[in-house]
Amino acid sequence: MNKTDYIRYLLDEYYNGTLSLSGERELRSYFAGDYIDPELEAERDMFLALGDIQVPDELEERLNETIYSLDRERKTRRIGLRRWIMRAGAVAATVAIVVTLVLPSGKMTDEEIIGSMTREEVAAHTTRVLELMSRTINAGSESAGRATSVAIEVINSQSDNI
Amino acid sequence: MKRIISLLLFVTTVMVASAFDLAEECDNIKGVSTISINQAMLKLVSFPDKGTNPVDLEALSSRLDKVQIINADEPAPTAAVKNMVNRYISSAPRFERTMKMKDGDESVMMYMRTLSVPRANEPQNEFLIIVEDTPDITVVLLVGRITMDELANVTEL
Repeated sequence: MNKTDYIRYLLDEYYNGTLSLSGERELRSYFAGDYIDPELEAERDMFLALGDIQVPDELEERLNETIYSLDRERKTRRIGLRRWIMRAGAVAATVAIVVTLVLPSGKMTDEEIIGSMTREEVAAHTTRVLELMSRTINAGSESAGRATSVAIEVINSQSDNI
Repeated sequence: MKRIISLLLFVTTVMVASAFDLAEECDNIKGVSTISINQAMLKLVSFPDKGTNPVDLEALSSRLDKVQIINADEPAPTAAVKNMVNRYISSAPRFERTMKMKDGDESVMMYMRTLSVPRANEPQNEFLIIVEDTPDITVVLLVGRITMDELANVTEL
């Protein structure tokens, strides 16, 4: 490998960001020297221009801050998501409790439903309840009708007396 | 977090209110007998003999959701049942006393409330009748998609 090829190799390494500090020093010394291969003239301008770029002092600090804020945002998003998962879990658990305690559970067999009563007994009790309800309502409306009639009679007799 | 706590409190209150079952509460009182028939039971019931009653009891019972009978015939259990019924009435909103009849030691009270209107023109009503004949007490509770007129027709003729 001749000198020009070697400098090209160092330049490739430099642009790839893999060049060591000693390699970079070698490149600087070559381009600052008296003889530069004419094929590398354009490369020299580019290399020196890049070398003139000043890295601001606070750049590292700003980069660190940006990385930290991005990390914090990611954590916040994760915490927010976790909170929503917890909320959804709490609601789901509550619904499950309500469904278990309030709503009738599962499919029951006829025997489980009937329990200790026969169908005839259930029918008899239901009939008894319906009849009691009915008689109470009828007795109540009859009493109300009778009471209204009596009240009208009393009012009429009083008005006759007046 | 506050919302979750509020939601849990609301759900707990609804659960406690829904969980007040009169017959079950009275079951714990010594000297009280109870009968509780739920909707699933009522669907299995058949009324073989209609007799002279023109009302189709089978069709009527298919629209019932709950039937409960509570009975006590000793002073202490009767007082406990009365106390429990009063608690039930005061804890259940919209209960209205539709009737009260008193004749000597015997009195009959009837309460009613509309629970919900799940289907058009078919409100779910709750009827509660308390029959007291000192020292006896009988409490009858009926829930179903049934009206007072329909109930009255059961023994009208």
